[in-house]
Amino acid sequence: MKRKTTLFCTTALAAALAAGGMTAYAEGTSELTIFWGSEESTEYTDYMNQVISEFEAANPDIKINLFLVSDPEGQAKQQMAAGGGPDLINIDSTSMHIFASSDYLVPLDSYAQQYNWSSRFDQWVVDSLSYDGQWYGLPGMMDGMVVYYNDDLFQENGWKIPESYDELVSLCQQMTEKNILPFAYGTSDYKQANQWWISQAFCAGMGQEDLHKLLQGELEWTSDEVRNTVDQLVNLWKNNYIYKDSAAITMDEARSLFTTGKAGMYMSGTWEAAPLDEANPDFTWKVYQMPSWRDGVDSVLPVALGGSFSINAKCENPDAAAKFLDYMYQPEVAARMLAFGTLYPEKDIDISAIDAPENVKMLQNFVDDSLETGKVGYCAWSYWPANTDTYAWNTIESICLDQISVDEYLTSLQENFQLDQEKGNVLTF
Amino acid sequence: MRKKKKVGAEKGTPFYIHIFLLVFLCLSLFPIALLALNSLKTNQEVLGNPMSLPAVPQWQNYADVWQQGGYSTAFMNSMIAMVVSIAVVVTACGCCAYAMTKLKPRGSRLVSNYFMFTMSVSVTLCLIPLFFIWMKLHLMNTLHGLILIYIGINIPLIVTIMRSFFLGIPDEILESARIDGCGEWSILWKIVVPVSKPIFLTSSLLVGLAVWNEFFYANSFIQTDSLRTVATRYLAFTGQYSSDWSKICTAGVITILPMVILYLIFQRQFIEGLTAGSVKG
Amino acid sequence: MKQITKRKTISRIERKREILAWTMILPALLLNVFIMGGPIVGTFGISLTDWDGIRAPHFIGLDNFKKLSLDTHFLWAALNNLKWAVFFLIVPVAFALIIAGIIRKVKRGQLIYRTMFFLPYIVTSVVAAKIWTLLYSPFYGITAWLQNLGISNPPRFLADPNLALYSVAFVDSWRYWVFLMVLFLTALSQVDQSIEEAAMIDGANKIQTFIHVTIPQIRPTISMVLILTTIWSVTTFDFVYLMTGGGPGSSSELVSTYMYRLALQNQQPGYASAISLVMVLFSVVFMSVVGLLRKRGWEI
Repeated sequence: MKRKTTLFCTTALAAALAAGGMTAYAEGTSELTIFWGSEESTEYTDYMNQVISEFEAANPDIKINLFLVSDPEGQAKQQMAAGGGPDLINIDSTSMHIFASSDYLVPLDSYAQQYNWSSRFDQWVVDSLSYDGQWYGLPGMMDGMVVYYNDDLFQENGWKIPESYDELVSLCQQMTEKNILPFAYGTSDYKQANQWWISQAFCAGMGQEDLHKLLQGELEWTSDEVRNTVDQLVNLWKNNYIYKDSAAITMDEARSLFTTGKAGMYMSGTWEAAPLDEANPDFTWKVYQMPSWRDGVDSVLPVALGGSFSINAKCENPDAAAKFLDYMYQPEVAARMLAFGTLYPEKDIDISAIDAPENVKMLQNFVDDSLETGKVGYCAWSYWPANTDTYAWNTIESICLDQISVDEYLTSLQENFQLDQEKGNVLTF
Repeated sequence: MRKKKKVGAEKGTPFYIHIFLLVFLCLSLFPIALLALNSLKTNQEVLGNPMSLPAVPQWQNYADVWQQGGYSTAFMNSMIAMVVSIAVVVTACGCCAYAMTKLKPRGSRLVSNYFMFTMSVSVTLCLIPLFFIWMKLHLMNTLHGLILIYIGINIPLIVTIMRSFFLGIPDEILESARIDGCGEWSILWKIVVPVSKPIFLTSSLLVGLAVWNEFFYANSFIQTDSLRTVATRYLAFTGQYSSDWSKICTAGVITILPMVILYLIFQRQFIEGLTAGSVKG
Repeated sequence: MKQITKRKTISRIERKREILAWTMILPALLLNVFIMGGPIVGTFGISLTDWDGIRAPHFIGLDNFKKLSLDTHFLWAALNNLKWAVFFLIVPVAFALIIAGIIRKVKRGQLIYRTMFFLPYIVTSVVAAKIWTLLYSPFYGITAWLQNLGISNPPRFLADPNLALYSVAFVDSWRYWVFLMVLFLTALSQVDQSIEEAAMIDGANKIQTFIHVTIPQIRPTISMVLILTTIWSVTTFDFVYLMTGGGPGSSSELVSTYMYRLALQNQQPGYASAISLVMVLFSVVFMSVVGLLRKRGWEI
């Protein structure tokens, strides 16, 4: 008798638990995870947390977990490849395409219709985040590459903003004579920063049209235009116009070379405005756009879409995820991002109305103007295919050190590009 | 005992030898001294002249770094990793080495050859497959996943040194216990273990040192800050505060201090353990 | 020699003992096979594919190895490994021998010297790398100090492509030589002092005695050290990764850092596994050659 009672009780308990569990699931909260950089500034993380709590307040059945990791992109990619990963994925566009091609991401077209996202972004944004005709990601922040310069120094010495390659070289020459380093630069803690100069060089050296052809496979990497561009960049480096020992100092150290007046210029992204303001140098700094290095070709502003937000195919609640994305990208919500120096490329954001530092707004206008005129260049980490990009920034130092010749570099670039074409890594835009 | 033949009068060591050794010692330990010195300076002082003495010792650097660097979590992670690794490794290797030396089943020669081989194989070579296996098993970015790796890679060395030790235990004691009717497990527990305390201590210290200092796998397999061990916490800290050299030095001292203290207490075991393992290889 | 027991049946007690013994052996063995043995075999498998870690792998046979033999970057890295090995076979070994030889002359306090000298080995590689990076910094380190003293063109250490590899090797050997020194001390303590004293009576000075009398007596230890150093120099990774990342350019790139980057950043684990395998093969071949020569009577 005792045994039967035990059995009955256990079964009843199990049934009750199961029923309870199922009910909880039915009425329960959907949970979403996002990976976030633990090394992001506190303000930026606070901003994200603020957005999340506002969203959760309006949607009590959705809970969002911000998971702090030191390499959110790398982590997300690894875990996705292993069959898991966070629900909302924030990775660079090249990787986004690779994952989209292998069905790791959810196509967003139905949500785009539901929430009318196409009205928020320009067509070129949508195109660059599409694969095989389907839209896979909402754009990350827009960055542009500019040259920050020490206006006080320029005024003192009567230096002018260069408008051609020759003028640039002559300016650097004059700076060197006064014992001022022309371009501060440091990559010892982040070798990938080489992408910045490569992007800038290719945009200035080739111009928009030829660069576009190159990246679409209509121009060979071994052609003269490319060779000239690389030669121009290497020339700047070898003459120490770009800091020759960049491999031995960190980005922070490079920036302080600029803020302490030892270097006259600093070529970096629009994101640099916030740290520069924080460093509070005792001179006025301004920006200029790198002139074109080719005669007869217009100067362009190299831009990059700093990644994209996509939905993991393994996400259990894609609807909830899409709803959150929609909230994040509401113009009023997204506009607050400007306080950190960057912005999503949304059409309806009125910069002048936002409460943000003047310098930051100025830089954002820079980017917007270029977007409007269409005079944009293509940064390596957004527009170049994976293998080509990796080879480019990994090996550029070796040319400057004469460890390999420009010819070898270009041939390898061409080979890598062909490999990318075979693997379907090349973006069409 | 060394045989000493007296040639002439027995003098003390010539002082010039001591001078030479002391100078060389100072040069050798100079970087560590620099680390300690700079940890007590403000950042400006360090940047101004890295090799000066601190003007006013900035003891609060330590409190600041401990908090900012999240070292209490990191220490805890490393401690957990150490304790678990030591417990599992010492137990598993103890049984294994005992069986290989005293019970000698057929095929145990293969096992000892296998361990010899893995001892000379560097752990860097296992990275790629382990990386992807760990991802599939969802062990990536978990402390227990990392600990499992630590256990595995420390086994060959510990088995080897335990084997040499056990070979030194006279068989007669064990035989007489067996004749008295003792089972193998109780022989292990009641006779072998008490006698082996020295080797257990050495093994624990070696595994502890290896886990505390380990950087390669901790860095590649753990990305979440709250799970980082002390060594990788240091790396993350230097990434975040790359321009604050005084804090970097303070964090460095915090990172190495526990092991240094442990080392100074157990010098003999550390040194003999670390070198014995390689000699046998 | 193993005794061959001529028994047709193994008694039950023996069998029980064997099973028990294997039960004791298995946990450690299986743990290690799972973590090390299995993956090493797995490396071999992965190296025969074009896997990128994300998409499904395809079998491509020995293509990776063909590509490797033509890969100038790899060959350059391998050359660096060779330079590294030569550096390590000379510098730390020499220092260790000399200092060990001197310490053993100390009547009292040998152990204290041994303990204090050994300290760098206890310092974790990340901290050692960091403090040496400070010392090597072009703005705050030795270079700057030399410049202040008025020396023009001081060595630029990590920034100088010709010097970078050796600068890093120096730091690693700063840690490594103390390990060798302790080994040599132990070996030297077993040397018969009477022969040395006889040589000195015959007129040899201290240095000659050391070179011609003492060192030959510890030849087994020295050769073991040389063999171990060679093998370890193939897979050395930590300090190059922490201090230069292979740069500037590729001047300090080692086979291991190249493999690491290919596997985890460039998403080419298949190709990287081929490099891994080559490293394993090198150790195996080297050890086999040593073993073979020993069997032939070569005294190494």
